[in-house]
Amino acid sequence: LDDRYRVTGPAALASVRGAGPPGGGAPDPERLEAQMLRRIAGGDQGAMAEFYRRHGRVVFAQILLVVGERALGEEILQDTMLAIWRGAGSFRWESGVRSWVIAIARRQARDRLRRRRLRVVDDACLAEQPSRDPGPEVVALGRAEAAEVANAIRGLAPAHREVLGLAFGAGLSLPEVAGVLGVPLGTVKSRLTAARAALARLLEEKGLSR
Amino acid sequence: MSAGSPHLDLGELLAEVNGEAVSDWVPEHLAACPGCRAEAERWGAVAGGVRHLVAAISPPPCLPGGAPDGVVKASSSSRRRQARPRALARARGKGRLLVAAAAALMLAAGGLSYGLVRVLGGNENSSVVAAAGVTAVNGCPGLAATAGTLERVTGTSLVLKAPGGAPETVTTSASTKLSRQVAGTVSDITDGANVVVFGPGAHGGIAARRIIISALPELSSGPPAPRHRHGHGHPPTHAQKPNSSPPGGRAGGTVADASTGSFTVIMPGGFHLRVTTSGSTTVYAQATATLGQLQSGGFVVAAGSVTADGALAAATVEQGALMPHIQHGNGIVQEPWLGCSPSAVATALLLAAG
Repeated sequence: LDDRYRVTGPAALASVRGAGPPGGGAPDPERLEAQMLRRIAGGDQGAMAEFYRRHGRVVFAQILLVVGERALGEEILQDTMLAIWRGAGSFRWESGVRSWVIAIARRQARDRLRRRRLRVVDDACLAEQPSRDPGPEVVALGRAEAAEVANAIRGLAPAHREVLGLAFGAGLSLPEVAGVLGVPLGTVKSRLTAARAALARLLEEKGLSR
Repeated sequence: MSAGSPHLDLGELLAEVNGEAVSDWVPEHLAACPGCRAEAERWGAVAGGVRHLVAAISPPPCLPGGAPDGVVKASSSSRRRQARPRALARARGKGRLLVAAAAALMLAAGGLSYGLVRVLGGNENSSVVAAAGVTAVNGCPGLAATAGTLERVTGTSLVLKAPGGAPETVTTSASTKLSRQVAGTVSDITDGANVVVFGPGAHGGIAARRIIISALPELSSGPPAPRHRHGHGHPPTHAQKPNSSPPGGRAGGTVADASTGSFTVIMPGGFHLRVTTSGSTTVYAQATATLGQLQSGGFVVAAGSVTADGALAAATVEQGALMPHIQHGNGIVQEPWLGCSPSAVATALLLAAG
């Protein structure tokens, strides 16, 4: 692989978005991503492999959070990577690469689930779900171990798992989450809050509020 | 901080939880505001749970197909014409996509599919078509297809069977288009004919081992324009390195410059591929048939709609001359630009069989 695509870690991460040094120093991660996508668009298999290594884990985790089934998740991951292989040239920097990839994965997941006549959760339904201020049950969040929270997350509605995964697993900003989900920023916020409230209730049911 | 509130807003809280520096004001405020600190801790607990969950998830180190770049290998030629790779389908096992069919849809469109057989079956002699049961065609509401060997003809119905699968009934009517592949000759290949060519690479083209002349369905639109990697001139006919012979493959398109021993296939998007023929080139043509002309034991594909009792009411039935390896699948992937005619799907399936 081209060493240009091995640059990771603090030096690369410290580089400010869009401000990569033109004459040397730490390469701008975004520029690296752009170069990688250009190479993929040009048919560079090594670049595609590197892209998978960089993004596969997070994307797969996000897919699994939504679909909850590994075999299906792997299929969706394949579909996603194939879509990227086909469409790398169409990336226009209207979003970050990771949110673009996750948005593709989300579409692939939806297609798959639709074929199975399954639905995640109707967006409109979720949007209408009122936001909740922190209630007494949130005490449970403070008492639960990460593993317990993780287990409880598995019991959430797929759309709640999805938004939590985007915000904390993929580490997207709220506007990026909104872009991936195709919903207004306010909806993202209310969905996150609702997800947390549901999570807290699940933990409370497990006795973690006592 | 949201307008009208002295406290951190959700975006600031989440950025803090995610370790993203928003401004110096945030940590200062958190240090001084128990309420925001508690909120950040609650979100931190949520984030910790998500990360715990994510950390326990490991992606497949190798995508089916061999490696992370297996997806590339599996789709390298399919991307050029948007086909789906067999390598992926195989890994999905039984009950998966009719990948070969999708790849073949490119062929039905006359699309560039050079090298596709390498993806689909290793060489031009070992094609795979996936079929088991009546299968919906994704992207084409109401359209379904099936494929298998013809067990028998009962009245106007056909019974097809794929290995390991249950017999499937295909009903026909007076409007069903029936065709079969019959032996042809190289001299049948004339300018304007639609062909699919199979064979190994030779001098930047294909040395044809097998050619199928087919009444390829007229499609509503062409495939996406191919990417030209080198300038705006004539696109490369294949993606191999210069001066290297490409591996075996297939190409579909319209014949031009037909002459003794060679012709050009013009593929959608302007790709030109020179095809050479020899005495060992086998030619088949798709000819109109009757039910009685369909041979038991032969490979048959059918496309149409599903009836209430689960049978396929065929709009198109086509019998191939070759017997492919049949995979099981539960969906045919239809590329949007290929359109949704039953003929397109059936011909594609047949051509996938090679």
